[in-house]
Amino acid sequence: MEVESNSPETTSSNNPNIIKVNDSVLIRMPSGNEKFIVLEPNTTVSLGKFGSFKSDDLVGKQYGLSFEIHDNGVLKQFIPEAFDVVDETEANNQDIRGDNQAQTLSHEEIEELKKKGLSGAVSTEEIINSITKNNQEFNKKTEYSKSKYLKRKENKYRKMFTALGPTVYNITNHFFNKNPTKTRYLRIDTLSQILSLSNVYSSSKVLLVDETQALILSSILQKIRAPGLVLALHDGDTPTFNIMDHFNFSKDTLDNLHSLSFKHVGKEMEPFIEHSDGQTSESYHRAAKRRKANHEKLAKTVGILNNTAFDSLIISTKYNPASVIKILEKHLGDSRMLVVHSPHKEALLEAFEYLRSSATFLNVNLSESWLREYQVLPGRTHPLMSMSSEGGFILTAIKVSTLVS
Amino acid sequence: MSSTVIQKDRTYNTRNGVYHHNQMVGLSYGQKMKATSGKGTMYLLHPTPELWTKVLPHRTQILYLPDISFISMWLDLVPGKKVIETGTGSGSFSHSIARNISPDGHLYTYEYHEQRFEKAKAEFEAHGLSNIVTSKHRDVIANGFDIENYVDAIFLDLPAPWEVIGASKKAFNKGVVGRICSFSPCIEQVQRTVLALNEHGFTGIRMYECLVRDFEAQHIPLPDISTAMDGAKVKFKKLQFEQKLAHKRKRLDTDSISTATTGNNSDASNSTNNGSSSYYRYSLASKCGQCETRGHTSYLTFAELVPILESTTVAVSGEKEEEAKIQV
Repeated sequence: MEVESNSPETTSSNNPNIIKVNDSVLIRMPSGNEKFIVLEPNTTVSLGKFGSFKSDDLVGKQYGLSFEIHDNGVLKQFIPEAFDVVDETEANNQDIRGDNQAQTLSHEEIEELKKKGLSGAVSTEEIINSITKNNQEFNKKTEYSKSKYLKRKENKYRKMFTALGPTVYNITNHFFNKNPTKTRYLRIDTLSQILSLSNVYSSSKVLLVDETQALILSSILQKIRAPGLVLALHDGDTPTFNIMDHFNFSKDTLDNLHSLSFKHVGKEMEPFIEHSDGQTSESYHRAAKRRKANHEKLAKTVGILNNTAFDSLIISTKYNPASVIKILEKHLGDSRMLVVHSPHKEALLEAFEYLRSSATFLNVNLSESWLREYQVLPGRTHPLMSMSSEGGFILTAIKVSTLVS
Repeated sequence: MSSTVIQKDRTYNTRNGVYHHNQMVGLSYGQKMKATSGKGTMYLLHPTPELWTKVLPHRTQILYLPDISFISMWLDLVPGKKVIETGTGSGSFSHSIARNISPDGHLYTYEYHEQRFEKAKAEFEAHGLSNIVTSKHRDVIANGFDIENYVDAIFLDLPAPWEVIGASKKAFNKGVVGRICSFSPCIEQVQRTVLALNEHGFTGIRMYECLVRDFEAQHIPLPDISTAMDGAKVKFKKLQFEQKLAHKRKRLDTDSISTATTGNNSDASNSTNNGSSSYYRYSLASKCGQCETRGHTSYLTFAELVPILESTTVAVSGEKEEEAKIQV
């Protein structure tokens, strides 16, 4: 591959495309495994058999690039080829034995090679080369399976990784593939439909109940700019916004987020009263000041809930969605969208029925998305052999006014 | 559902009545309006890209919600992004792109058909999108884009997308990962596009198909088989009809009370029904909305163009070179 050199864009501290110190970075390894690392300054990041590198070397690079780890952890950009266009030959698998006798290198010899590879004494190419050369059956393979074989070996031995950007797409996929219970089996296509149907845009005021560990919240926050805002309701005292940390949001973005416990919903705000009981110490005054500030913040958030006709109401909850809708529908503006997500269709049926019979909702719709990926190769195009069987259900409706004129 | 522009002294005529535009002025969005003649009523809704997709005048095949949403997410269309779209077509996707990249992103949309270009341009202006959308009348297959080293994402909806992959490469901002999507109904188009993407150095090529299925909730009678063993023959059709009637009545009731807060609807999960058919157990069940649904829209081909850092030596594994020699 011939490549012309380009000068990279000037790095700017608030450019979201550039990796910064203390960013959470999603690393994809050749095996397809992914993990989050936090780029603390002056540390060594270990990717196990795929090598290790210095965190500072990644800072300032663009997100989305792949790197090969060379001797002493030096990072060099790696441009993977999309695929090899192979010319088919007459070869077929008639004479290929499947009994593991093809490889003439012993297990010990291969382990030795791997060790040398890790220390940098032998390059990835050399490892794959000797493994391929010592495979008696290799030349009998079809060109396509040769290329597949090489790719497999490369995935096993090449010391490289990709620093994926903190996009909604990457992070949603990561959790969906690795730990879908955390994000309530919310698949990328379903989430994308939630974002469209709720009509969220930069100046939207969004009322949200999100129990996907803030995956929905984060995907909305990414779009919101002041005076737009998100009010996220949660149970208990503190919200679970774990996934939000991986988006590396700026303070400006986080200022658009307000959270409120359900225990304050639908109640009168009590005035702030401080019983000093004669205490005059400095620490007491500090604590009193903090209590007052907290109370003011809470009053402000309750005020946002009660004084805003929200542009979107988005709900993904383990509580009965119908009960949540009945409590929150009055806060949704007229001609604005309600979007409810659940991994269980049945959990949405009661809400569906309620909305259908309600005079304040129109266009009630319950749907499920279906997503199929294909392999596209010359002469070998077909759907992937396995696909995701569930990605969640969405219930939507338009809120309308009861006023008639 | 349809769209209309409010104009002085005009009327909006439907089968169920006539509505005067003058009377719509001053009403709030989401309000219900009675026809001045006839017994019809209608709701006045605030336009959104999704509603617009449902009512827009079709000048071409258009993109619908599932594809629009998935593509937008893959292309990472968030505020500030610079985007190319070609062709503009009926402008269904353009509206959604504009919403997603506002307030400081920009969409450059190219259309080679002059009349379609003019109509779309007029629509963007009428919808107040002029500051976000630039319409261009240009044949990109013949002339490429008039933008270089600038955009973050490119969307191709063309009969021969493989013809503009080279031009697309030039348009991408060289300092960021460029994301491209091609929307093609036929698999042969996809195959040629993928080869072109590969040739021009795009990586991470993926291809998807996305569809949705609609459901309805219904109360269905589920009598125990002992009913039949006792010699009875349950009239399912009649039971379901009664159920529907009961629901209609309920809807009318809530309509007249005008509930805004907690409704007094019976808890649906108790699965029983009042009235003549209370003898039977009912279950809340779901069923597909229609017997027939959309089975194919288009294949969505995605790829990335990664920026090349200055110090890069491109790694191509040694064996592959050897392989190539053997083949020669």
